[in-house]
Amino acid sequence: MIPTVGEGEAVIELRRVHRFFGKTRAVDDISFAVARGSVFGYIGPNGAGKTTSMRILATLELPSYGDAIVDGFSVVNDPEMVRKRLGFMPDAFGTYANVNCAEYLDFFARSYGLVGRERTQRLKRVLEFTGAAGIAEKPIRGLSKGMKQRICLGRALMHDPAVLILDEPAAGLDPRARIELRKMIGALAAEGKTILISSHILTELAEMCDAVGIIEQGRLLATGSVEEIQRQRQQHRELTLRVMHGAAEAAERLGQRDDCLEIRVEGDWVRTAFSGDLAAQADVLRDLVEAGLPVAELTARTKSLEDVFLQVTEGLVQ
Amino acid sequence: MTGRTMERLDRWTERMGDWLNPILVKETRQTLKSRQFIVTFSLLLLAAWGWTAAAIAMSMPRIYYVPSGQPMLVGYYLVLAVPMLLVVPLAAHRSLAAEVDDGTLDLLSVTNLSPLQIITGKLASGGLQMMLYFVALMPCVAFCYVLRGVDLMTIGTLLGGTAEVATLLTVVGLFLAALPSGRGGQFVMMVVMLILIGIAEFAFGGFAIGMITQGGGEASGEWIFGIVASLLFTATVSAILLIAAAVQLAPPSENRSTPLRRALLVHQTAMTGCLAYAMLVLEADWQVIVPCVYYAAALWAVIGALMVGESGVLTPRVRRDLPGTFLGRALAVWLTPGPGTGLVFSVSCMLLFSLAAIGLLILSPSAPGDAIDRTLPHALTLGGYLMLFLSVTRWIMQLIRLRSVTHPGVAVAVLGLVASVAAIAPYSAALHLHDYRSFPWSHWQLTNWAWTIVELESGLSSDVPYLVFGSGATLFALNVVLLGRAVLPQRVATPERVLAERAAAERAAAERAAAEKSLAEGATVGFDSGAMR
Repeated sequence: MIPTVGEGEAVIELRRVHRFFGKTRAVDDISFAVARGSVFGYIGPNGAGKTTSMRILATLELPSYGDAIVDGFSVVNDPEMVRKRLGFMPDAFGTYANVNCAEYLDFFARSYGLVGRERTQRLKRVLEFTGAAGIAEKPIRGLSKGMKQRICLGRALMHDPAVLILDEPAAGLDPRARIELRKMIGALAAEGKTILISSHILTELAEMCDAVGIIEQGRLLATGSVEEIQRQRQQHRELTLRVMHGAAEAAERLGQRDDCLEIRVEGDWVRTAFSGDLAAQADVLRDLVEAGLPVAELTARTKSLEDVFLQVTEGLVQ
Repeated sequence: MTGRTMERLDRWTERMGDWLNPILVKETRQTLKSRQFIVTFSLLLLAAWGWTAAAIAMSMPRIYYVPSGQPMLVGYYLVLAVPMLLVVPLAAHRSLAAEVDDGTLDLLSVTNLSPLQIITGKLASGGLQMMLYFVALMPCVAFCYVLRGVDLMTIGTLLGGTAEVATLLTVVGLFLAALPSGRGGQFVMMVVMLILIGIAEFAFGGFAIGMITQGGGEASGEWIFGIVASLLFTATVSAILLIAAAVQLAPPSENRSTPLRRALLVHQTAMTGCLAYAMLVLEADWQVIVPCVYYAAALWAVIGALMVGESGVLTPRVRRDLPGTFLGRALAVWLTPGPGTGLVFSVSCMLLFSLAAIGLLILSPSAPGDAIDRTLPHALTLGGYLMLFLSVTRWIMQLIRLRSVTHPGVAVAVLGLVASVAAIAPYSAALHLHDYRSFPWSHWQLTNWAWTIVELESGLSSDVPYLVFGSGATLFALNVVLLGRAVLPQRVATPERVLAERAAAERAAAERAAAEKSLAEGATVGFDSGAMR
């Protein structure tokens, strides 16, 4: 059973993908599926196999074993069908000397088979979407990193693909450029594009993605939304209560529940690892209040993607 | 021209541009803005003008009454040779190598462009630059003709030959740049490229200057045949190298072997045709046959090694394009990728060429009675060694492939090793047995191909070629028997969705072409009616 992210028909599917480079297992039996219109974040330390699996999806590498499917077409057997549906933004920019931004995008539009008015209109739309219309005549090699990334995204969007594979698009960008990139990705997701994105900036991924996959040493350790991964890993939220002059009694009552673990009392404060959902959290509060305990504060802290990442991975590299 | 004419011309050129290879469009944009082109073009003009002024000054006052075109043309050739034979091939080589180095090849690989389009786009861009250099020098060449001393035949052959060699060098440059190699490998390829350019500059330079100073000769049958044969050779070798470069860039799931085999067949057919014309119509010296057999043996040894080094696993993508019927598969089996079929293909081609060569000797009016007796031993021996060494190489490659995925190029190294061991081992053993003194050739040296071939000309026993051929044929037959089902792989059906997608793409292309045509006709009508008003 392949874990599927999102609901509906899977557009990206990796089926037991392996990729070996000599004795190194860059990708080791990875399977997951992403439904149409979902944004899937791919996270892992350097050398974990993110780029290799993205390159397999982009038809640039062949799996040693297994297959990857994009919109129903195999990257092994029908790569040209996959390429029509897929926009790829690698981590390296790839520029040409003596070419300006419009010429650069025009070249890729031609390379994707766009002709005549269709090409010029698409070029205009892409320049507007990426906010690069003002730099269309500027030489591409003199652009800032942020501007280059806009052009790079524009290049991947040139043939209006249904699937986008973005490898570290936010790397090296300043905060403003990052925010703008995030907005663009949000807009693309709203248009219904399926996006697979890798990044080291986990807070951003958490905001952008419907789900994430955590990869280490070529193996997919966990997939799903941050909450789902927490549940898969039996990771609990931390509940903190301030009970005025009744912390010990509150701790005793909490101890009778199955969803409260590792209860600690520190003065008026009671802290517990809580495995229940929001309804159960409300139930805790009601129990304590109905028992006449003066609950002054209740806070619940969900673990961040960074916490999850650190707990799931072991910091191993190949 | 009116504004509407300009508008119409603009639309027409825009439409033409859509049909051009995108790589050509991009490379041309880059080239025309590049410092390298501007400097080279300026230096070409400066050198041509400088030479014109200097040569005129040196030839005064003889220039008025003595034909002075020859020395002038030599100078212009030297000026033209630098950009044509050095700058353009090197620029093409660097251009493709830079795509690999800078990662832009990956970006191109995910577009609709095929690897062959990428390679031919670069070649076309080189061709365009050559044309610009030609055009820049054309007034100078015309000036030479006006000065007398060189005829149009010489000028045509010189310019055509320069373009031909420059094209071949550019193709070689692209082929070398596409070979899989790291940074170190790219450096080695660049050095190889420079050596080849140096050789070409000297070899063709010598030919060109000799032709200018001694005259190009009359437009005889031999001369025209020479030109046609060299053009055929360049065209077919270029096709092989371009396809070979393209398959290096193609993913391993593609059928990388069949297009190359077809190109090789065309090359062999063209060269056999040239040989037949030379032997039967021009009555050329029959002795040209033996070097041709050696050329074929060397070619099929290298190509055969590359083919027996191919993977024996056919991807579903390759198997979709196999002939549908058993008869079709049986007839086209030697074009199907795989080491077994590669062995059959290369040996068959070599044997076919040898048969054709013997047939030509039988038919040739100029060949003496003993021509066949003097050629057949060479053909048999070379064919025998080819079968012997390729069969062994195939088995070794099968063993290697059991443990790891290897590049077909490894098989060339294995063939070299097999051939070296086959030559050195019996010689060393015999040398040791003879106490390191000289000894005559004996049947123990049968696998020593180098010595056996040398001895062929000095009255070796007549059974030796048959022994070598028989041994080779036995191993080859064993190989063919062991091929089993590998030579007849089954076709797999293309998924319905893929067929539907292709049909939809074809329909869309036809609709787009029709729409553009009607748009163009509408524009023409509008223009005409406007003009009439």
